[in-house]
Amino acid sequence: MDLMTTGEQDEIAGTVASFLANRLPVASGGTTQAVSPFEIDPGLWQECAGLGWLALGLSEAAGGVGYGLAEEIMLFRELGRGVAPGPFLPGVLGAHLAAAAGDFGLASEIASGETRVALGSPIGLASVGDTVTAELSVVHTDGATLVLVCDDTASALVPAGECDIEPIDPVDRFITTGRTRVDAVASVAWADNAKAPIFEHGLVLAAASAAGVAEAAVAVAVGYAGLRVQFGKPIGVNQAIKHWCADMAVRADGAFAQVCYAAVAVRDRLPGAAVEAAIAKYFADEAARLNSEGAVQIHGAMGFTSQATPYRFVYRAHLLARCLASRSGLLDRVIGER
Amino acid sequence: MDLDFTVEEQEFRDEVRTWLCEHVPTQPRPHGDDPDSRDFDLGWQRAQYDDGWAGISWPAEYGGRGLSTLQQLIWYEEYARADAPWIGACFVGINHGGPTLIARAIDAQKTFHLPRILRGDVVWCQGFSEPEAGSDLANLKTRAVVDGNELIVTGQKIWTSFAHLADYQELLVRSDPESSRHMGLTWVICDMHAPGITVRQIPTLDRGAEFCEVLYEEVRIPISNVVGDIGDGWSVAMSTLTLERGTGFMAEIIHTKQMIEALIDEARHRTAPDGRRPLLADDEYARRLGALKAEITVLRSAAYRAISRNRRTGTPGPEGSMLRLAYGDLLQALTRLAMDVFGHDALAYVDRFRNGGWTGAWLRSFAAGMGGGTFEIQRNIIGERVLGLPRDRS
Repeated sequence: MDLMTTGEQDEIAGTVASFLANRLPVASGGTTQAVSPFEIDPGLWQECAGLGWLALGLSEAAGGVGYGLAEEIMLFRELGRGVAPGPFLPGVLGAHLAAAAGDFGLASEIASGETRVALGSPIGLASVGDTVTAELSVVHTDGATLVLVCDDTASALVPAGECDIEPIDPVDRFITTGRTRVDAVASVAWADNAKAPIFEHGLVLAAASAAGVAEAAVAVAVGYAGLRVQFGKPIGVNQAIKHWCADMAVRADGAFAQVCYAAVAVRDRLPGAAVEAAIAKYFADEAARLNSEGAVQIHGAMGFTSQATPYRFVYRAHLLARCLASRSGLLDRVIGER
Repeated sequence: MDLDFTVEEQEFRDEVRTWLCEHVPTQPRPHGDDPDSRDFDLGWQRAQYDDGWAGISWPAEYGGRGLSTLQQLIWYEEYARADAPWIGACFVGINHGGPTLIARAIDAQKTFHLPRILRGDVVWCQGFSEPEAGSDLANLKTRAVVDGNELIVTGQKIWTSFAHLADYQELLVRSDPESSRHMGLTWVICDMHAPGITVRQIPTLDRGAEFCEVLYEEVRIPISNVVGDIGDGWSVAMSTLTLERGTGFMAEIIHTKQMIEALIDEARHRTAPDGRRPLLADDEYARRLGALKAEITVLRSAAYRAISRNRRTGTPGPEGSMLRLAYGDLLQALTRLAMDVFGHDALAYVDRFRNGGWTGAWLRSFAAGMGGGTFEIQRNIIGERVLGLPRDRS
């Protein structure tokens, strides 16, 4: 048993972090980086794909790097910390699904960044299989030709052109978002969740990003609390601030620990893996929300502006909490039959 | 990153499970001012010792099992799963006094005391806190004057669990009257039967009887009982921190996880406020229970990570405060929810060692916000030593 990261895993995280810091820094100084109509610069997207970010956990047979979920969470944690745009989550999951469905060609098209995938989270009852019927909340719509729909029964890729996605003005204005209702749209590829647990895989990756948001929010809050001087002292000497930061740190630590545990459980198909993944998503979502709120409050009026960074964490926590499964649904999974 | 245990570790788990299954006492531990509680705690310690299970985290050269970190983890996990008793009066000897002796005592002190602790011959207690030195421990004033080959101790200690049953005490005193704060302190083994010692029990809100205050009136302690050097007491008192790998905490986590499962089961068999369905069919209860189950699961993962980190670095960091804080918070939330689940049945007091002892457990949970450093002190430690926020104290 060893739940710490390996040197190789730390290296992946370091490479991603420095790339994001140089090329996609968290908005600073008030310029919102929301790019319309592009969520992420197409050249930059191709560069990320070229670095293998979409293929980390894909088997070498399917054209991937051959790592696993434990390495993928390092990527998604950094994407969360850097509140990066880009359809990484549906891209990685879509490539896995295509590979599991036996379509290695599609898997490598997605993994190369050429074919972009949006994430469709079902609202209410859905039917996912060789056709998809569902009301969908869709994120990362920009440039997507496929939509990944998954729930705990099955996952499917459907053509975005047949989904008639209605764009909305999203709270997280760095992520292109829409709504649609699809009725018996034929899937390009699909797999049963029992065969390919894309749903749990997705919960863990989304949780890794939320954990990253929670961690970055603590770091930003602690940094500000140490610098901002009032009454002649840094505000961080006050227990009202210090203890809030402490609680944020405890939450962030727990969130990533559970992401690690769930990643191993899903990767190794351990008993109880589905519940571990649901807990990872539930807890990381809560941590991201509470910590982003804390980061805003600790920044005072500056936190209310879009010149400081905390609002980015609020946006992203809000978005991630609505991807794949939300609080009530996740807690119902934790309790099980009742 | 893995959750694998080796074949050897799995065999060890089977061995532990079998032994515990056959030897865990079937009677509940006596609660409160029951004269049998000392015998119960020492008897269980002796039973573990007789079969070679005492001191599983102690080095073999001092009579312990000297088990690896993961074997310790397995022991504590199985200990909790077997519903083995709370360590009770043996806590300080096994988890604090003994480990301090291992780290800092001379051979003569170790060969005398360590086997007695492991065999369950003696009870130890801790004499650190004072009325004016709680969270601010370095403000302690109980004084020790050197007189020939003896220390003469006068003063008062408080919140000393099991002092009324104890044979020895790890006592922290101010041996240099000119000193202040962390300097000029001495850590000494005090014989609790020595003349000049008065122990008064302090009743607690959970009907416990182990809380005590201890008064010292010119108590004579041989200088040979000093551990480390005179004046070096602070560092001796803190030395156990380097021995704790966080494995013992796993027993509390598993025990709490079992409490949550039991509470979920209870909610399955009770009736919801509308009188028409099981309580667990009520969404509010189901999700509050689900959230607690999620939180204890997260805490298990955080503890696994802390244990993994400690195995690599060799010394645990201040991160332990994060686990303590999260655990205390969770224990209080859990028992508070249990009071809601039990409704009017929660009007009845049942001590925490008996079946269905939820009211006792709830009342006890208030102590989780104080023992081993209050929640506020834990948050200061996290803020300052983990996050590096500025201090506002001298």
